[in-house]
Parts: sequence; structure tokens; C-alpha cells
Amino acid sequence: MLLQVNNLHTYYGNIKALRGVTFNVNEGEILSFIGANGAGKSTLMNTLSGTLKPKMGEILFNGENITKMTPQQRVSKGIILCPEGRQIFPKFTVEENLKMGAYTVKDKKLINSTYDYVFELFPEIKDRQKQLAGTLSGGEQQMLAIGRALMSQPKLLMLDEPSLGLSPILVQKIFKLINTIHQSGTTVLLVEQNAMAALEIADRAYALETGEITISGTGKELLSNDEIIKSYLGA
Amino acid sequence: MLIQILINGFAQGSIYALTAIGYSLIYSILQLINMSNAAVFLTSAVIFYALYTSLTGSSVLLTFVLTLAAAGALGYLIEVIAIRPIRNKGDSNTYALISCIGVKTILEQICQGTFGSEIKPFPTLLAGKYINIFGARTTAIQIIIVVFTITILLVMNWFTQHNRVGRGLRALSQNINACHLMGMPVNKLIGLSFAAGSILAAVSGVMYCMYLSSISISVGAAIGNKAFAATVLGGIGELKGAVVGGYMLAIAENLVSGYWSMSASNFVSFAILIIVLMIKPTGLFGKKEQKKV
Repeated sequence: MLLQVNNLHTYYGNIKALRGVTFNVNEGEILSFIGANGAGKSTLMNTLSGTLKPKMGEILFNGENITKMTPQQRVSKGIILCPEGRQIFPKFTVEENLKMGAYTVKDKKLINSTYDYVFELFPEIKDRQKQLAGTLSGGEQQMLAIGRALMSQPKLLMLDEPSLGLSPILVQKIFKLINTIHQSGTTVLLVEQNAMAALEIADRAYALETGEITISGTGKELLSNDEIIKSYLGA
Repeated sequence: MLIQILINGFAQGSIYALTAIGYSLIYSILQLINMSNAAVFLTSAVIFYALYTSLTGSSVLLTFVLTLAAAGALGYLIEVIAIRPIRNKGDSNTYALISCIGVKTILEQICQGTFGSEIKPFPTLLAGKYINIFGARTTAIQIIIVVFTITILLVMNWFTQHNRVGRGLRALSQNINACHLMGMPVNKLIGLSFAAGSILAAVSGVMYCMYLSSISISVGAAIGNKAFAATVLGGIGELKGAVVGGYMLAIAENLVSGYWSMSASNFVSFAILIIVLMIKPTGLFGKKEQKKV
């Protein structure tokens, strides 16, 4: 088991955003969380990345308790979050953005080989290495954000709403790329409002509602679950 | 006459520019006007004076290096003690601003208590030496100030463009949350930015006193206010704006004092500050920020 989360409670001020979330991520799988706006998806991601502190509960990564660790320590351990809204550095070039992603990596050779690997995955941004990231299109910015996350050599890649604001064709493309990244050996934890895309790609999935896990199963099971169809797939 | 004015302006502008960078650097990262900057300017000059007159004696260079080290440590400590604990609390910008004013007051009081309120002679370099540039009398210390400042600016430019830590500081000014997520040591880097701003203020403070060959307790407030005006003129948060603003302001002041009156020159910086705020509040290099909802 790569990641184990036990009874996680997180508050936003006085608002209880997570109410006892328990789940695990197995090594090598794609795990999806689906849920509506305000279900607590981003809160979960931010708690796992360490930018939010949980009130209760514990997070184990490779068996080690990382609940009290800083984001910096977690990145070094191999957990990276590609955040909602991309949050690239707009005044940096594509190249500089990728270098910031490798801030915790000391091995220059490894940085260079990952740099090349990112452009293999995303040839669209290869020609734009010297371009300011703020001038890229939404799809290119998402690719850059994922590329930047990969630069940290993650064991667990967490993606928060990678499809947000993208055209259907680009969404398809991004999900295909997520699959490619997964096949090269990276475990993926995905959080999405786009339930269809997220469930199709997932080995296992959870539905999150007002801070609690309400439904769980394999991606296929959830795709044919009546409640999921009614609430998330709109059929 | 004009050449003399420009030379004086460049020397004085260097002093403004270095202090202004300190304001701009912190503002770009925390959107905080670091009011303690001017007090660090003064404190560093006082530290230099104290070290020179009591310990290090004859070596200006050794005293200078020790003073910069002390200023760097002071800047880092200011961040750790006065800013970090409140940085993520509620209306943190207002709290931090008040905290900075507190630090400024404490430092000024310590300086006043230990140094006293009289004007004292300050060691300078190559006293009395000067050369003629197109008929303008240029003192050795003026040349040293300008050359040293330009060297620092070039090094800083390289550092923020090509060094990992320097780039990290620029990344902080764009998106602190993303810096956390990339695993960057955000607290350390912010501390470092205070250290860097303080070292620049120290360089500026010591050089200014060398320029005057004297030191008094009011030296920080005078330059601090003008350096802040220069920061706003250039566009607060923009490092190159701070530099250009510093030089422009000093040259404008010297033009006024040369062709009009000495006492009017002091009012120029604040007149410029007010005019800039009315016409282009973002300054020469500042861009309008679009707030995302």
C-alpha cells in the first residue's frame, strides 16, 4: 500500500470540510475521487500535500506517518500535487517552471532526463521552452503544470481537476497522457468533477459528498452504479 | 554644471536604489511595505561606526564585511521574530505592517540609546582624493559608490536569473502556494529575502555615511523616505523599477538643488511621489494586477 489515510478531519476555519475520510491507494493504480463543487476534494488534496493541517486522523506513506510533515518533506518523499487551476509561474518561461518543479532534486542528470521525458510526453510545449508560461493556452498550461509536477520524481502524482476549463478534445488528450504517465510506473491519485472521464480511467474510485466518502468500488462498478449515474453522469 | 549634477545624482541615486530594492523585494513577495528597512539602514551604519571605533580599528574592509554579516543576520531575525509568526494569520498584511513599524521603532531607540544624538565623524575611503570628469569634480568615494552599486546590481541580476535560490525568490513573488507545493523551503526563502534586503540597506547606509563623512541618528529616516518614494516611482514590487526610480529621483533632486534651491530639492521627492500616485499608481514599471475572483 503506497498511501493510507485514516479518519481524516480537516477544517476551513469553523467549517468542517473533511469528516473522517478513510481510504488507501495501492502502488501502481489510478485512483479517482469524484464529487461536486464543495464536496471537499481540494481540501483532501491540500491536506495530503501538507498545505492544510488536519484536525484529526493520520496519513501514512509507504508505511511512514507523514501527517506532521511539511509540504517540502512530502515532496522529497515522492508525493506531489498538481493543483487546481494549474498555478504555474506566469512570469517564468516554460523551462524555468520545469526547473522549479525539480527544486528538491539534487541529481542534475536525473533532472535533465526528466526534462527530456516531459517534452516527449508534451511535444506541444517543447517549442515553447523560452516562452513565458502566462502566455500559454489553457491546455498548454495544464500540460506544463503536470510536467512541472513530474520534475520532482513523484511516486504518487496527485492531480486536482486537470480537466478544468478545457475543451472536450483537450480533456481527452490530458486523460490519455495521464494514462501514459501511469503506465510508466507512477501511481496516480485523481480528483475530478468530470466523473465520466475520471471513472473510465480509474482502477478504483470513491465518491466524496460533503466531506465523506459515500460510494466506493472499481471504476467500472461506479460507472454502472445507479446513484452515480443519477448524481454525476446525468443520464 | 550639468555634468557635476549628474555625477552627484548618480552617487546619491546608488544609495537610493540599493535601499529601494529592499522595499521592492519584500513587497514583491509578501505585499508588505517593510518599514523596518530604513531602521536597518541606520542600525548598520551605527554597527559599522561602533565596530570601527572600538574593535577593528583601521581596517575599513573588515569592518564592512562584519557589518554586512550582522545586517544579514538582523534581517533574517526580523523575519523570524516579527513577521513569520503572524504571516499566515487573518489580516496578515496589516499585522505585519504594524509589526514592521514596531521593529523600526525598537531599532531606532536602541541606536539612539547607544549612539547618542550628536553628529559624529564617519570613516571614509580615499578622503580628499578626486578626479576631474569634463570639468566636474568627482570624489573617489562617489566613484566607489557608483561602481560598487553597479557591481551589486549585476550580481543580483545574475543571482535571480540563474541561481536556484535566486529563482526561488522570484517564484515566491508569483505564487507562494505553488512554491510550497513544489517542495521549496518557503520560510527559509522569505527569511533570506529579508536578509538580502537588509544587506543592501547596510551597504547603502555605510556608503552614505562615508559619502557624508559623518553619521547621525536621523540618517535612516531621511534616506528611507526617499528610497520609498523611489520604489513607488519605479513601481513597487519591480526590482528594476526600484533601481531606475532611485537614480531618477536623485538626479531630479540634484537638478532642483543645482538650478533652483537646495531646500526645494527635499520636497521634490515627495512631490514626485504624490504626482506618480495620482497619474500612474503602479509606477513606471508596475503593471496593473488583475485580481482573480
